Amino acid sequence: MSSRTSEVEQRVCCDAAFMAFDQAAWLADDEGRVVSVYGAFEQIWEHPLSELLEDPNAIAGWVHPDDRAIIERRGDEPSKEVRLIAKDGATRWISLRSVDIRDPRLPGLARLTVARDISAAKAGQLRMHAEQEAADQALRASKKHLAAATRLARLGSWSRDLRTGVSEWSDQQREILGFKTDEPIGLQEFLDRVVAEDRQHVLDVMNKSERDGHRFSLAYRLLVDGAMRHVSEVGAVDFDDVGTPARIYGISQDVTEQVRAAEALRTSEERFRITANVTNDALWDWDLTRDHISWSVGFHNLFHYTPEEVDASLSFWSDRIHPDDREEVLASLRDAIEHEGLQWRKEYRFRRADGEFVFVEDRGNVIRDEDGKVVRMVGGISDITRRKREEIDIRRTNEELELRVRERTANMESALRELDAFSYSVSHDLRAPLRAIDGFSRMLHQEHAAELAPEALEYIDLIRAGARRMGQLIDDLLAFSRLGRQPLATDQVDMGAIAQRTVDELRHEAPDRKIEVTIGPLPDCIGDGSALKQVWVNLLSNALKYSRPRDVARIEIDAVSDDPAAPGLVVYRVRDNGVGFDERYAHKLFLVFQRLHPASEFEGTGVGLAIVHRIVDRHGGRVWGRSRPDGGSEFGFTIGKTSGQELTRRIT
Amino acid sequence: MNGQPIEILLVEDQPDDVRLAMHAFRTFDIADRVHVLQDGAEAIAFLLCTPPYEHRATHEPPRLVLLDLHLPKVDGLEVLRCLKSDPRTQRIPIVVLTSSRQESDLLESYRLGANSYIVKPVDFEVFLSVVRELGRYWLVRNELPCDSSDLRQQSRSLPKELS
Repeated sequence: MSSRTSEVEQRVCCDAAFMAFDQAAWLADDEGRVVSVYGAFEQIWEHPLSELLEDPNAIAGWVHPDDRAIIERRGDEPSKEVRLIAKDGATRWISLRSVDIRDPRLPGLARLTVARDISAAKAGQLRMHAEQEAADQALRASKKHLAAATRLARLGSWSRDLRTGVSEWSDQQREILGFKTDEPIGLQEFLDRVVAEDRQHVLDVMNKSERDGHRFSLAYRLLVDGAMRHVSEVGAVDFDDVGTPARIYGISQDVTEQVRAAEALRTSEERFRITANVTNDALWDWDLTRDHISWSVGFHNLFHYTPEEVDASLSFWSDRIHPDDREEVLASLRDAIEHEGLQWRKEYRFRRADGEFVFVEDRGNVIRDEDGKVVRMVGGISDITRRKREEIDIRRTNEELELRVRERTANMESALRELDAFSYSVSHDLRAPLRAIDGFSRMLHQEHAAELAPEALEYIDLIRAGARRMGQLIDDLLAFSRLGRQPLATDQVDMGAIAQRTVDELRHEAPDRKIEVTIGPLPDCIGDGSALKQVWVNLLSNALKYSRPRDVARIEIDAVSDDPAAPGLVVYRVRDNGVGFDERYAHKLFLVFQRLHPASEFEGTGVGLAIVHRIVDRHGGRVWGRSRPDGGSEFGFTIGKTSGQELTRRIT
Repeated sequence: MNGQPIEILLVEDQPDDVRLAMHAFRTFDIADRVHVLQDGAEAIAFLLCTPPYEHRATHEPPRLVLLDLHLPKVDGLEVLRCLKSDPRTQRIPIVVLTSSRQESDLLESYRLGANSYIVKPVDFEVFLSVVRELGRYWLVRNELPCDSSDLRQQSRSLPKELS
């Protein structure tokens, strides 16, 4: 074979080989000019070979503009990948590999470049990347969701590598157990938090699961900062390829609130059951949606109906309400249901099994659904017969009492009227004969004196004196009885002025007497001026009367606030230098018709001081008398609660 | 009637009181001008000149009526009410002369128009002075409307015991 032939053969061989592998190759001299081309050049590049032969840089113009720089980069890069926008618009990937060779026909180093379409491989690779990315994203999202869900559900998770003994705890799990986020915890630290009674059980359950590989579920209690937490947990065990337990893991939930609520419910149900049993009341629960009333045992106890007799309808109850009460009770119940009422209460009479009616008080609470419709009522009936009877008794007693009071008042009023009539008759009719006695005695004395013995004339004087004294007695008695009924005024009374006026009047009536009177400062008081004037008249005329044996009557009038008989209060005093009185009988001083001196020595009816006492008493004050060591007497009285301060102010 | 005009009408049912009063009037020599009636109904008939006093003339009223309150048939307060509400008699001075010190009697008497109220004193001496004062005041001092000028004329000729 000639060298020429062999060259041609070699070329054909090469061409076929590149063609078979869908590859193209070209050889460029050291100046970049393409000298030989093999294989499927035009299929790969979709450009005529002539373009490359004319311009060694044509390839840079064919590839994706972003990859142009890769082509133009010269140097030792053995392989490049560039994109090519195909005629159908698709992007194709072309792999370029270059190698420098020596060609005896060419001067310098020649460069052989092999191009290959790697689009298919590239697409697969990209798809794999995308799939990987999507899977990662989904995983991240689901982890996020899981974390949110566990947080929301208060679900904690944990796991323990059974070969290394290393435990992992989720944040939520740490929170349930009461550990901080970064606190290192192992099995022992966890067990320490479990209450002592539950610890062994927790261990047993987990150990069993590790042995037999079954899922486990368990409930235990924790003590965190002194507070008890209830935890519910489920878990499982993972095995390795050879069936050895490798990892135990679990999900736990803090169920403290649910446990507490359940306990509370149980307690309240228990309480209701106990109450219903213990109370005498008939408790009821009326389901309006199906007209069904459940009655507690109290209903049977109260009203003696046997459980068989009782039917659960409303009418069973309403039929037994007293006919006179029924309409009103049902109307009020309707009212509570139809209007926005929450509570209903009614008293009525209810028929017992024996036919007798008892007074009951019925109270119920209205329960509404979300639409405000009443679906249920719960309440209780109490027997108030006893209370009612007592109320009736009390009312009757009150009425009787009132009647008696009215009768008494009427009696009293008629007694008062009679007393008035009596006083009138005393004042009017008793005086008439006295006038006759006095008048005719006087006429007898004047017109028939010559015919009468001196003794007879003396008797006539005695008769007249008696008549006059009786007239005085009648007047005093009437004045005294009037005092008890007359209403009193409450004016500011100038006691100093009244005392002075009284003294002046008394002086005027006894012009022949030598009288020395001193009047100290007297504070005003609140009272009835004319009644208080009477007090001064009676006390001062007594002082004057009983000092008659003295040549000079000395009367001192003053007011003090340090009298031992009434400390701190104003005491008005009248003192005289008269004959005084026997203190042994002081208790009789203020009694009506009681006298401590014979009428032959000192005239009087025994009413004056009784009047003083009554007036002072009606002014809320006190009056008393003392005999003085030097023979005179002293009378003191208070008016109401007039305090000594007023006196001090008055004097200073 | 003894021809003298009536100057004082005494309405009093108690014979003792009438005798005592007449003694007092005699003391002052005016007894013959006093007319005594013993119950309220008669007093009203006398002053209003109704039977049995229809012959009397209303323009000759007494100068003073002394009226007890406690009277048979029609009591003193009723007499007061009747006379003081009648224009023919409402100007006649009426002095209540009674044993009653009852506040209600006093109030009612003045409300009905009594000109004065005197409680009969038990002491006869006091009674005498009361009668003298009454006569001096109502028969001498007191002025009445002109239609009884003739009476005023006579008042000047009162007995010296009163002046």
